[in-house]
Amino acid sequence: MSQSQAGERLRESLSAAVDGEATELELRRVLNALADDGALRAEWDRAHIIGAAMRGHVAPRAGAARPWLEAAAPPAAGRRPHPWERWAWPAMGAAAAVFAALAVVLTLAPRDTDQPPALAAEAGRVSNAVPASASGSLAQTPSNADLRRASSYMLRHAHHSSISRTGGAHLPVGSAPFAKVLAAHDGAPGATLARTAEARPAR
Amino acid sequence: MRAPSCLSGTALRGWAIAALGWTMPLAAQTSSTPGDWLGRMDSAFRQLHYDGVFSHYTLESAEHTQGSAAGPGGTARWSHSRAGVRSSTFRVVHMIVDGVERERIAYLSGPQREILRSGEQVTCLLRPGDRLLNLEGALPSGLYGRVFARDSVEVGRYYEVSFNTPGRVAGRPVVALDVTPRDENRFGYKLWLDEQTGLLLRSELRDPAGAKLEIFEFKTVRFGDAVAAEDLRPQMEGALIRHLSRSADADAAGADAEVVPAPWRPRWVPPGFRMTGSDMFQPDGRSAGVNTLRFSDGLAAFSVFIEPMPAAGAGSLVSRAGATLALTHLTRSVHGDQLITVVGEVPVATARRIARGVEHKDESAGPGDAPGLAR
Repeated sequence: MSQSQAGERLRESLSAAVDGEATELELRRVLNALADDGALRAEWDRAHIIGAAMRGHVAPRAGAARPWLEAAAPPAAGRRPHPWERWAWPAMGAAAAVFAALAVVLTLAPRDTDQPPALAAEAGRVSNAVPASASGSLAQTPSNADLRRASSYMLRHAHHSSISRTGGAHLPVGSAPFAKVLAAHDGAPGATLARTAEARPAR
Repeated sequence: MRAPSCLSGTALRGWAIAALGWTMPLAAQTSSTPGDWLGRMDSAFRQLHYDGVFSHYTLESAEHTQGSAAGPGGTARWSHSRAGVRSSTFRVVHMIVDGVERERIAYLSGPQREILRSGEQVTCLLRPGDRLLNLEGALPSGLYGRVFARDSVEVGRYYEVSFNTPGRVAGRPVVALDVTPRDENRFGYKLWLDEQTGLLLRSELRDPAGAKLEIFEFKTVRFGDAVAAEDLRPQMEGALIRHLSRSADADAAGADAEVVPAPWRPRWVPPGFRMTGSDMFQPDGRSAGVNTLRFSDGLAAFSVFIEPMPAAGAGSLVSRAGATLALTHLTRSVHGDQLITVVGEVPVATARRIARGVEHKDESAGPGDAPGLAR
């Protein structure tokens, strides 16, 4: 088999793996290749971002009768509508899938920060104790030292949340502290945060 | 398991059970309520044999105040900087071998790393120069170091757990659960559990507006005999080895036992959050210690860091990595200016309110003012 044919086959296997339809052989091939092919890893990541966008809504299983489940949980009638239902992406072509991925990035933005803090009334009260003088206030722009400090505190928090028996589950479930702690160390200290802070990006 | 009572005779009942076993998924026989599924998920993580590839996506954003956030009547304006999605992909192999829980997690994206766990013992394999080497303290010791809270009754007071439409994840039928907060001080979760085994195959953590902050998802997974012990063996060669002697659980025992009384505390925490620990640590290169208070409602957790205002000053910061928020606040007190940093899986408004209420115990009106601490 030529190299290009092998590459083509690998991409097919990768695509199948992303869709959860790979055979065991295909899966092994992909896993082995991922370990030492940077370009393939990048493709794998891209495919998954698109996949995650497409699966913002998990399609119900067609034709599956589940009386046992329905008995346990009365269906939709009494159910509150969930915000995620707005996200039900129809089936789309490849170009549309890319668009969906972009749309997810945009709509994922935390909406509560779009609004002024909901505690304006309280701010007035607190300000009695905290005169807004130049010497007694926080700088408006976080420095790299601030970002490093915040990053290290996030790490400490994640670590404690992951080890503590009483400290909360820290969903999405268990993997969160793990992934977070590790992600926090993929960059220089503070880089994770600094990357998105517009005022003083870390180098 | 409910055996049909109209059938008499052990053999007949046994046959009926066997027949049901063929037609109903295993999990369905033992779990019927959403709460049962949560319990099942908890044990599935630790007891099953599984081998899969999963990804974790976190939304990242940072904002900072563009005006006096706390000024009298001042309107705080918020600047949205770029938000992005960070993703990492891993392979996990998990087995029980001779009664010992063993696990290997390999990074499929980013730097090449492997984390190996055997019972209490955790080893991390890294390439020379990996930034993880600079990490102080312990590394996380497993994919599922900690899962759902045990006390589902307590959780039920602050979250509603319900079924959603079943679907498919990683090519497998799943049962879908919604964990919906009953107030605006915590995030909600959507969970998809493998119908057959109860393993969590996908989860989403959402803010009150429904925005997804973190997604965890298996891409492929296999169970039972399809998992090979040889895949627990490390595949990196010539790697620098970092050995960690303590497991998460061993660490937890020590961490929980030690609660250092702190002179500072928040006047307000959201209902249901209780203090789970506190300590004091000395960051590198700084003379002043940092007081830490930790709180949890059984699912979500936040930490409050309190330290004397650094001589160089500090900036106003609101930053988020996935669902974890970091927010700073300055508190002036007769005990000196204090920099308060709240870090945790709570909405911004909640974190802000917690931070603003931090006060010295000498200044508090009474113990009744701190409901989260009183219990």
